[in-house]
Amino acid sequence: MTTLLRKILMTLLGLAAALCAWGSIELLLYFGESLGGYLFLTIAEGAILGLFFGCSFGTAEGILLSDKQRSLKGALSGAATGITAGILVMVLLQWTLTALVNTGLFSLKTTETLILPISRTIGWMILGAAVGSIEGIRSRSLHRTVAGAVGGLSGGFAGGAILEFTGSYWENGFAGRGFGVLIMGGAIGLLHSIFESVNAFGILKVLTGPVRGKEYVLCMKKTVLGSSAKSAMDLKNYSGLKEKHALFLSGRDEVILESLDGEIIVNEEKTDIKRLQYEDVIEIGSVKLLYLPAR
Amino acid sequence: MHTNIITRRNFLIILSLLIILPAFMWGQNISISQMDTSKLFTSSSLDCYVRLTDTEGNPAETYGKMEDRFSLFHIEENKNIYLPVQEIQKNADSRDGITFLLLLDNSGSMYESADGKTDENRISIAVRAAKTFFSRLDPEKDRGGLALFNREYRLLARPDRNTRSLEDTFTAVEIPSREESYTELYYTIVKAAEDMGKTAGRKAIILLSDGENYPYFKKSGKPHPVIGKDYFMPEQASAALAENEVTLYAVNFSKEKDIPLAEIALFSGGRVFDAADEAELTGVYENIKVSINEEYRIKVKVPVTFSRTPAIEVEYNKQSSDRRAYSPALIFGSGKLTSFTPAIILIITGIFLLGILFFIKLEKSANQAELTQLPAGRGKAFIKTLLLSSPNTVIGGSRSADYTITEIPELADSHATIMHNEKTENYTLISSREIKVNNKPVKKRILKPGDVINIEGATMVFDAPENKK
Repeated sequence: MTTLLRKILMTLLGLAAALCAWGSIELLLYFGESLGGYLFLTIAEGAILGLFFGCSFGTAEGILLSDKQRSLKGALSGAATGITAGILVMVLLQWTLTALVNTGLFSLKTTETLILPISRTIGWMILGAAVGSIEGIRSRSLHRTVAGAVGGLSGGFAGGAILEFTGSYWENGFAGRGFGVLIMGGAIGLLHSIFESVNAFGILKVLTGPVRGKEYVLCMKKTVLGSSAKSAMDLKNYSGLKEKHALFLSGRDEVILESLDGEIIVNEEKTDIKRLQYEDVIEIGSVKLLYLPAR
Repeated sequence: MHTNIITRRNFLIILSLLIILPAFMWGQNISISQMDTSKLFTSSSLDCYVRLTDTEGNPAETYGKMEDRFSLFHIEENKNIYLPVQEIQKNADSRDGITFLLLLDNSGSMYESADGKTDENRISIAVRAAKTFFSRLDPEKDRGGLALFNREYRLLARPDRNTRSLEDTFTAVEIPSREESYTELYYTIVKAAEDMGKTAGRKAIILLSDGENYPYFKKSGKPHPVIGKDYFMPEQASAALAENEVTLYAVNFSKEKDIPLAEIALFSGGRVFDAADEAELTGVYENIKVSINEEYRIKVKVPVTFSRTPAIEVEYNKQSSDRRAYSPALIFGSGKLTSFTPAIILIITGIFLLGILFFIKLEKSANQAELTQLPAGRGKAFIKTLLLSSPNTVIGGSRSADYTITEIPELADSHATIMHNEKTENYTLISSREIKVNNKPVKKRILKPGDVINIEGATMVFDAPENKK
């Protein structure tokens, strides 16, 4: 899968999550009058947004690597992180809004036309950042968390601002909400993948076998490949791999490949450790990978 | 005998009360003077300030348990929901005070004699009465602020508990220039309402004027220094007061009156007064303060609503009622679907799309020998992936080559050839010039699946099924 396809897929994941979130929010509003109060409604809205975006982006890594087990695990941890982040963001946002209104610093008109839209857009940004960083948190990578958070932040800003704009000027609440949520979902997905590519150390492209063409973005400082389920890429359909076969150590200007428990071949020569260069061909077990550094 | 006298006396008293009380109560009017929705999101409750007045407009006495006297309803398009009262108390008994903003007319006419007999002008009397008013506010609870208006609106002091400091601000009251001597009444109300919107709780604007709205642009033909060629209408003033949930009390300090001003004040929940001298003016201010202190703050829990114009109706003794709209600022806006079917369709569509993305397989092993150009390198191939079905496949820059790569000037017309040996099933790459396979310079090389070929910067991958080497 090329990086372009990756961006398209991430955008589609964002849109799919947005469709689910939009429909669920409409359902919530439909039955909302029988709910306990505005606070509960806010919590439910946060939980719904977090659930779908967290779940959808949580599956991303697994889908991108054609690893269904990883997708399902990601969906679960993403949903949990998303719900928590969604509720926290919405409640904090509401508290901040209430506190802002009660400070007496702004007129109601200023609050409605400026403070509320700005605060809500910031809220969407925080929600986007939380959702974008889910995979980084799950894989315990600070670099990936930051890249995802920045992507999510930008997507949240774009979508949130549009949601506010459409909410203010679009009389039809259903269409306005939908347009804003869809833009936000798509933007989080697209910008998340763009920021991930920009901050990547390099790309490993699979040259042979069942997942031929798949690209793995090196965005963690340590990446372990092998037959283990914890391997950064699902390589269980390839032969000759040890559980922890090889380690990629990524830095600002270089990526170093180290042998762990298995034999590694770079450009047809056995090696234990090698500083990778443009178009190096790596063989670990039966899988062949092409290394392309970050531009 | 003695017992009979007492019984008869009691009977007469009760009879009198039965006759007088209903008449007394029927003569009572209820009006909502303000709504405070600042606690709507945290507790789903709002405060409704209501005023009970007698037939003369003075605060009316009430009897019995207040919770039983007032009935509140939540009004939507087709629904009318009864709201139990959570808390009720008089403003005077509340820990929260009242915020006043006094607007003094500082137009040219205010510098004319108040009664046409003495030298003392209206503004001097207005300033003295204002000072008295501020000195009588409760410094522990109430807040007072001051603004002047003529052609322009000047907020001299924001409402504050320290009303003593207002003494100094009165020094800013100066005779206006000829150009300033206009009366932008409605513009002033809009600006003051916006300033008061910053305050929570019970708040009121007291506007003292001695004339009609006399807008600068309309009367002079010159653009206003702030609003240019605009001039404000009474509806805009009313809208600003409603939007900022503030009540207007208007005081006419002359026989010249602005007619729409009375309607603006009444629409906001306030009243209009006339005053001719300092004593009357002081009395009016006191009356306003007492009247607000006598109001009831009724706290009710409201249901979640997506209606654009929900309202609260307050009824007193099932005799008199008043209604006022409010707007809950929802994160996802107002308005909802009339059927939940579109919502279900959206969710199903989203899940379906997620399912497609989950199950879609974009990669597969090669089932035939092929050559694919990678976007990482230079040049552009006519066909991205070429199936190697012929014995010889020529790679070059010429259009007649089997695998043509353009945009690389160094590339020869026939730069390299992949030869297929049907017996051994091998594919051999041959080039007259040095090329790279797996980052190693070669001129001839038997290709293996996954070999990366670099010809003058153009990167290609050779792949074939495992049995076809």
